Amino acid sequence: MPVARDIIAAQAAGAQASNLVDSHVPGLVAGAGGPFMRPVWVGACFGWLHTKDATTGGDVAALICPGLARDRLDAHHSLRLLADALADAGYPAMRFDYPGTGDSADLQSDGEPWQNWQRSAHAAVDWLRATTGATRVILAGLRVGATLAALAVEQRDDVAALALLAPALRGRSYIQQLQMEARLQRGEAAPRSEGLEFHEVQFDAATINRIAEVDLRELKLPPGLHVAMFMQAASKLGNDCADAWSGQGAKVFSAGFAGLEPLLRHNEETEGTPPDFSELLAWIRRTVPAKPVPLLPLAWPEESLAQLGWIETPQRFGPGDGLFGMLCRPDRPHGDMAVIIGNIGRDPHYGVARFGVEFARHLAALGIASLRIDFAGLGDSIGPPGKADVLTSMFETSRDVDISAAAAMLADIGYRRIAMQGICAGAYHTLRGALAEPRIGTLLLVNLPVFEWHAGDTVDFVYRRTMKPGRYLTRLGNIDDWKRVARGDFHVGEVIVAQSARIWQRLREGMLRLAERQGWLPPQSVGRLAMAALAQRGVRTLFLFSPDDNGIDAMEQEFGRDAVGLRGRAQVAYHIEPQLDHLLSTPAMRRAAIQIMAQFLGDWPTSGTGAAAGHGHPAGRSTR
Amino acid sequence: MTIRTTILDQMANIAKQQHKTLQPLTDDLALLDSGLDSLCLAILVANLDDELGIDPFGSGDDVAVPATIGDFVRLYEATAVRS
Repeated sequence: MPVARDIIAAQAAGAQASNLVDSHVPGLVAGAGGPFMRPVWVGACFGWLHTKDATTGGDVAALICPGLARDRLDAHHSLRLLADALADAGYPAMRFDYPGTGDSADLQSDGEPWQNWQRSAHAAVDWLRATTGATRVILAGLRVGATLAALAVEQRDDVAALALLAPALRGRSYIQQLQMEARLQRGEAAPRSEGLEFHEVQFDAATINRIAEVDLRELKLPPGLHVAMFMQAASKLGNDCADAWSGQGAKVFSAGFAGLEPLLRHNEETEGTPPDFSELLAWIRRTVPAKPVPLLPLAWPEESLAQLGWIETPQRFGPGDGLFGMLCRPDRPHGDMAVIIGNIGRDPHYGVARFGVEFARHLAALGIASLRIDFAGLGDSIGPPGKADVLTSMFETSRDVDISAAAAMLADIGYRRIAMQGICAGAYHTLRGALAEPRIGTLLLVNLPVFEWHAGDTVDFVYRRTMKPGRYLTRLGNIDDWKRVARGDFHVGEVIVAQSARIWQRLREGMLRLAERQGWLPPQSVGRLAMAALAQRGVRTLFLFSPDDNGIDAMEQEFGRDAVGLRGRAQVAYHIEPQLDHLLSTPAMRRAAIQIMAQFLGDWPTSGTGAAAGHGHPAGRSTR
Repeated sequence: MTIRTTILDQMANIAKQQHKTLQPLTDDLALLDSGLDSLCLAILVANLDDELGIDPFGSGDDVAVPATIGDFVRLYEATAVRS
């Protein structure tokens, strides 16, 4: 079903501001030729409702409660498939984002997350029942989402079944895990009294203590409740929970995690296999059979969410409307600039630590619209034909069509100056997509890892190929590394092959750069050809790196040390920001990167698309 | 089951769950060379608290993350004795 577009009421031509009249009606969108999935807002929480078709609800519906941080990112695609599977089996299913996570509204500054998240789960269940006609619900949760689902059961009388996937059974150990992850990432411990900041999680000490008190062995369950526990490994704690709940009259089904591993696997390389939900679905069908009922004729909730400074509207676009993006616009008349924000790696559109959301709403505050998108087969976008449910590869799958579709959609609704931003693999696809899409006039490339990806390359090989030999040479004095070599744990052969490729490439590139500078040859390498092509169009490009990022080596291979080959190009800026790391893992890093990118955007001239800047950041290494 | 055995079993389980190749675990093997990444190590610490009731890092003192497998096991053994 096609998606109606915004209607723009533009003011006088050449004016800085244009009014965007929001008359967008998303409509229902088919999934991968199967169930329908429709974006919804429940209060200020974003979610997706999956139903068997456009008009059929069910007397039993399911709410899926996601995990947090990496548990959330890695499982997003799999939980979409679970929702599809439930809907196809006759159980309308809803996925949703807790306040302050995913695409939901930010928590207010005085908002306490743990209690807000529990309230949001109840609100989601109430909405689900009201919309689908369900009289009973299944609460399913992954990791801490399972914890929240279990706590919700205590306060409701309409829960027929509780499905716990790798549940965090004790809040204390879950907090420990987050704190240890944060510590290992930062390299230092923070006292519990100072709270916890990790990914999108921001807990003060009171919230930490509140979560740490949760122990699902003490859960009070209604007699007769069906509970399924899918555990990654047998454990005393899991057994204690099962015993405690059975003792209250709950009917507990314990199973392993076979087939469900993709839910929690951080898979960077292969397309992988989707999770196998057959055992879970069989249990649900057995314990809580459902029958179809018509979807209630309620008015759908508002299609957009407006908060202070921004309005967000989910969009479907591209071939068959299979692509998803969240359009974020300033809540006041604004200019004609919009930024496409691509996926980071294979993470969904909201990004690691919700970077995409943070960047989008910051841009809105500056009067700049954005569209954070999922490339085909990632997040909430359907995969390419024949691979509708496959998690598409990080580098090998071309994203040119997706990027062009996003640019076309933005142009359709009146944006004339279109920029694109990407981090790591997202930066790689941004560069390549911009070469194919003439509407893109500015690029914001953060930690671009490579200019060229060959079929069959692996992340490890590319990492080793771009790593400077010095980094390996310094390890020759490390006895532990020699022990690894002796054990066969250190793949010396692979390093030699990769470094040989690097040496040959550097020699070749050096000679080619010399020939190009002398005018004997036109640009030869992928990177130099790309930048020459973009320069011809007047495209502005910001290369932003964290110190020691492998992408800096790739830049040097193409353009020489300190990107000397790009000097003198007014449209290009090359910047190494000392406080960043590869994925902008702390709030301070994200703020710094956003500030640099926003400033680069701010220098974009309003007359003409992609005209030479003439001012702003000249090419050449700049550090602060 | 001893603390050492529990720790080594947990490491093996976590490596399998996270699709990591675990190196032969010896006392002098550096933790970060074991094949487990930071997420795996964090899960390990959480699971050991669930299984053993031991949390050396939650005492409020700034306990350093052990460098080797042996140091890790000894830390947990010492914490168990103290508690």
